[in-house]
Amino acid sequence: MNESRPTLDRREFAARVAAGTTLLPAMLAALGASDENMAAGAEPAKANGAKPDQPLPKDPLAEKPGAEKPAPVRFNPVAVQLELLLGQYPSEQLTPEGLRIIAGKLASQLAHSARLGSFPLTNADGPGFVFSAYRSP
Amino acid sequence: MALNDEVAFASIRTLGAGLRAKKFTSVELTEFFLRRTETLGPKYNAVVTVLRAAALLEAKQADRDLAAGRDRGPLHGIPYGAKDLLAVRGAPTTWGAPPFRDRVLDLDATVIRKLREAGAVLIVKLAMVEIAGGLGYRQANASLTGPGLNPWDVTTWSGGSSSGSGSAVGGGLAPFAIGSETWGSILTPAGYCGIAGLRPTYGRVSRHGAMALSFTLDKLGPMCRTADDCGLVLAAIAGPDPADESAVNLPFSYPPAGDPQTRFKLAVLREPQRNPQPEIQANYEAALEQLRRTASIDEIELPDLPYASVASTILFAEMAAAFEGLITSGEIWEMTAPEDCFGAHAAMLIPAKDYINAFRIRRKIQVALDELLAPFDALVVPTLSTVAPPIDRDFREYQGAFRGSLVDGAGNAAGIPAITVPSGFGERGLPTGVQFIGRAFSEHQLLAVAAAYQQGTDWHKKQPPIPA
Repeated sequence: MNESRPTLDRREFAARVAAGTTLLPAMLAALGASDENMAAGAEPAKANGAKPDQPLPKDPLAEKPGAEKPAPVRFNPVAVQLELLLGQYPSEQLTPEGLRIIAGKLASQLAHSARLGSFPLTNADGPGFVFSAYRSP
Repeated sequence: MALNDEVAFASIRTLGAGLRAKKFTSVELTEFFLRRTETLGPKYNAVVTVLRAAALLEAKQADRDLAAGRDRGPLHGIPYGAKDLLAVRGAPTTWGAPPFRDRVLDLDATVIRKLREAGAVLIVKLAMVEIAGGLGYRQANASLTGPGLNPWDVTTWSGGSSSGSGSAVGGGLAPFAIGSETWGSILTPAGYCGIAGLRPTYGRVSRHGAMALSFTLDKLGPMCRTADDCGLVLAAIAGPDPADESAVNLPFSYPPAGDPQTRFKLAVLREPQRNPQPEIQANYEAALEQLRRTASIDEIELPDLPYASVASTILFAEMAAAFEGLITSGEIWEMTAPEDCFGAHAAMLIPAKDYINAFRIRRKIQVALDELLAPFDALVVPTLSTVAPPIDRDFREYQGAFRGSLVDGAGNAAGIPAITVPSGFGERGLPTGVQFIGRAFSEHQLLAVAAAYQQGTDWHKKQPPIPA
């Protein structure tokens, strides 16, 4: 993680989670949301300066017929998953270094997910586990 | 036979012959290995709980039975150790993790019960990486008992997650031990410590009473001085179990009936390990030369399938289900390795569709590997791409460009068996291993070819230095 970037105090993390306040921008800053941390196709939030924790602006196309449609807002999937995780498992122990480790694992999982998703499967390719009804002897 | 270093490193068959020839009793043998465990065990960080009183009681019973003509077979009166993820009634079962330091489970694991019925004497519960490594550790110091230390050089790691099992057998603290493998946890410590380690076919051995890390990847297996010993132990612990529906009802006896197999058909991969250490490669080639005396060897290619993605997704999804409570209870923050405090969180978000897709592809892996291996008795590869790393180095940092083979993920994803036996020594005088992998339920062939290799070599007879 780039130490010169702003970091988020872990108490502040917990407080924001408790308050239900979204954490995306702060987390991106805390994680140094860059390509080096967000491997596996993750992409930082961008698009016309829109911030992912704010409501989407009114669609300008509605007022200007024929105008070029702006690029959709794209979220960094690692950061989004991280926020979900913090909501489900909040803890003051989740230090910026810990979040960096978790983010790395999330990126790895997303890479595995992409690899699995790209494997050609037909509808008939069932899973290899067996489930059977249970009846005690 | 005097109870000396020769006994400490003797095979089960040799010890059994000594017992029956009345050269020593089971009580004497047990006392001998207890003393070694109590004095040397801490030097390897190999011990969680020594079961001195219970072991001596079991040994006395073994002596009484033998004197009365009740011979329970080759393990009768033989001391052993068990990885501390196996429940033993009345003893702590820590899973290597600080939150469970004092936890006592009120049951005996099926393998413990079966070994008792076979007359074996449990002397020690052995150290392991916390939660069998399922939290993503990257360093040796990831256990409540400290880093597992290698008998060949105590500044290096013994391997994981069955660290204590590797150290104990490698250091002559016990004639054999039980380990577990989800992804590499028997083969790695066996390879690093210069012993034989057998990963049985998934379902060959009941896991009842063992910590579940991954319900569909976990296997229990023997870690011994020789392949032959692995066969003897597997015969005692294999078989169906009403308490574990994954345990299959396929008989396994050892040695198998009929004439022993003396000619083998083996396969090798074009690239068995990706960029191994030079000594690993040299020892592997020497092992192939030895094997050519009794085997034909053909080159095959591993199908291009997402082995690591499948194994990783299944392992971590199942771990997440099994261990979410560590996070919600806050016990996760007590883990020894800092990275283990954070290792489980990400797995909580693996989507169900990824887990199921991994299983759909897993079946294809099983079919592909079965077709690939069916014409052969075994596929032969170097067990690991490096020797044991120093205990103070991050694994990834040490391994660097030395990358492991795809066969480890493939073999565990498919649930097929493998055995490693020592093949020589590499960098810093540390052991190297050669691994034999076969199709499902081919343990007899694997044991036969590994035993034949050991009959022509003496690497398994080498003894590590006694630590100061």
